[in-house]
Amino acid sequence: MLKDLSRFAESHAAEIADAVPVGIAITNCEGELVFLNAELERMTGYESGELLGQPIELLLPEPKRPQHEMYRGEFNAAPAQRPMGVGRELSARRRDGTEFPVEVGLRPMETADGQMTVASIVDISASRQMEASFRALVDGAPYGMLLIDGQGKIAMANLNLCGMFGYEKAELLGQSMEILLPERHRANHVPQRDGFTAVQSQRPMGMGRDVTGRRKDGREMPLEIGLTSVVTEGRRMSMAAVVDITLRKRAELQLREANAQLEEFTYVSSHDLRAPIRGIATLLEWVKEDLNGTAPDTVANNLDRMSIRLQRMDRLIEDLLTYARSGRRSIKVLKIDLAALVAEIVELEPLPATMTLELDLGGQTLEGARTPLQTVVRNLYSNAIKHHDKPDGHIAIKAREEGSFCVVSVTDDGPGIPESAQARVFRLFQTLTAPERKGTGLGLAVAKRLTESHGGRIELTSIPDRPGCTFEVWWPKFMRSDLDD
Amino acid sequence: MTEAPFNLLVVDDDDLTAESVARGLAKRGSAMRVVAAADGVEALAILRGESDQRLHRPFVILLDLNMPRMSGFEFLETLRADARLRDSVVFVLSTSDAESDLARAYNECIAGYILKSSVGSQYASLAGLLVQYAETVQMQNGNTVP
Repeated sequence: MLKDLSRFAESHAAEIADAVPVGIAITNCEGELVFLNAELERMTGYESGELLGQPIELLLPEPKRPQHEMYRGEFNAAPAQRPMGVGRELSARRRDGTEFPVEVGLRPMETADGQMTVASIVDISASRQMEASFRALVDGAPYGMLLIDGQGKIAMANLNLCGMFGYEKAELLGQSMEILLPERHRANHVPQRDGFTAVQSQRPMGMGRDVTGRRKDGREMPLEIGLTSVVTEGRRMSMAAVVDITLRKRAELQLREANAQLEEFTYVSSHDLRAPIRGIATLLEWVKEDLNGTAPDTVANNLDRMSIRLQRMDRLIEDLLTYARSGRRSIKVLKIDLAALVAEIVELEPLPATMTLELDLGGQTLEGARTPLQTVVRNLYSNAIKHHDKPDGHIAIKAREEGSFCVVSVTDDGPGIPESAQARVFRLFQTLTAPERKGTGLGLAVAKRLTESHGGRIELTSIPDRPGCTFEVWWPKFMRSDLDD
Repeated sequence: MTEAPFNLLVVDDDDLTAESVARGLAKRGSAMRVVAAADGVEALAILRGESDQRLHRPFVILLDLNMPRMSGFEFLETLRADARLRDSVVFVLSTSDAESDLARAYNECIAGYILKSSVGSQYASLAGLLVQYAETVQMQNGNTVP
């Protein structure tokens, strides 16, 4: 242990000062620098010893110099330890004329050589930059941000929030935050706000109900708000992230209306449109009954042709309804055994005796809506039979797993689909064969719509000059959160 | 052809319904008479003897629900409130399978709710059902509605 500690400090004072990461300047009462440490020289870019004897004002931006001389006089008149320039932003000037933000502490010092002032100077560029980055981050955020103090006053609002509510930033700062609410909600909000600030927490606001904001022009808008409480400068504040959900709400409303209209259309079609068609069919039957075989052949023949057309029209409406409903997703989730699903289809529509069916379903099982998948496969299977041009046709239904999809393919060796027609087979009312023979041209449109609305896709492969075609259905093996809400 | 144990009042704005039932009954050799009314107002007029059409007791009513002027439900309420008609046997014959319609109809003490879609094309099986009903069910006798 050293014997004479004060002597040690005295003899090493300059070295100690050089070790401090803060700039230190000592001036006499004339404001001349009598001491400065290495950090201050580094900060300002001066050579060692270059500043000694120079006025301290050399370290200030030129416009601030005359004023500083005055402040210095005031300090000398009543010297006391204090921070410098409270409430003002202070800058220092480097040797090369550039400036940087600083914080300065002042302390008077009595010496044998007279009254001195010790100034400690901290370069705060880094924290200023951080602050600026933070501000840019907040202002660049794609949602409104609001900082509310314990009294409910707006301490900060970003550009997005100002734009959302139609205010200038200056109009909001310091205002009670209730300015952003419809008047009828203001009184109620105050105790709720106090309740939130009291318990430090993080939560979405207005769970299960719509939060409404009020713009400067009086218009109201639906909002989604996330709240979190933060502590800045020792004060507890509430931070709110605010999103204007007007567009989302509008889209939801339009979707609801569209669905309601579709519902109504479906009802009208099934009742009001079909009833007269069935009525005509009934009357036609009675005419035949009453003629009791006495009608001329041409009349009987035409009556039959009318009946066929009525049946077609009835089936068309039925198919259109199926198509309209196929845009809606089935929400029933079942474990589906593909083999059983296909067996049911074949049982309902048996294969013509001269055709052969090959099944290779590989024990595939999946989770999802059963009826839509069955409808899709049935339509493909039924098409393969219906459009086959040879009595000894061969149809294959296969399944394989591919990633998160189950791929079901239906292949036939029928006439195939010409390249020119491949793009339009999935569209409404597109039939490639004579209408008397086949369906209404909706089977593939329904299959495509059902598959897509359940998150899958359907593909057609038909190679020109080779018989047959293959339809592949990519059906998701699992339900997805964005599709299966 | 033997005399039928009851007559039918078919209340439906689609005039094909009554004729379908009549034709179906005729095919089965039934002598059941079918009287048609286009809606509740017309049906009440017949039941109260205020119409040219006559309906002899005993009778069974086949009632559609969705009709102009007076719907099936309004007709039922009026019928049950009328002291001389409240014991009428009524079957509802409707396209609606809505649970609310069923509940409301049974609440008016109907004898049964028949879905139009379940009785075959041109109500073929409805005629069979009526013939069997006539053979099996004992009706209470009554006079011509005054």
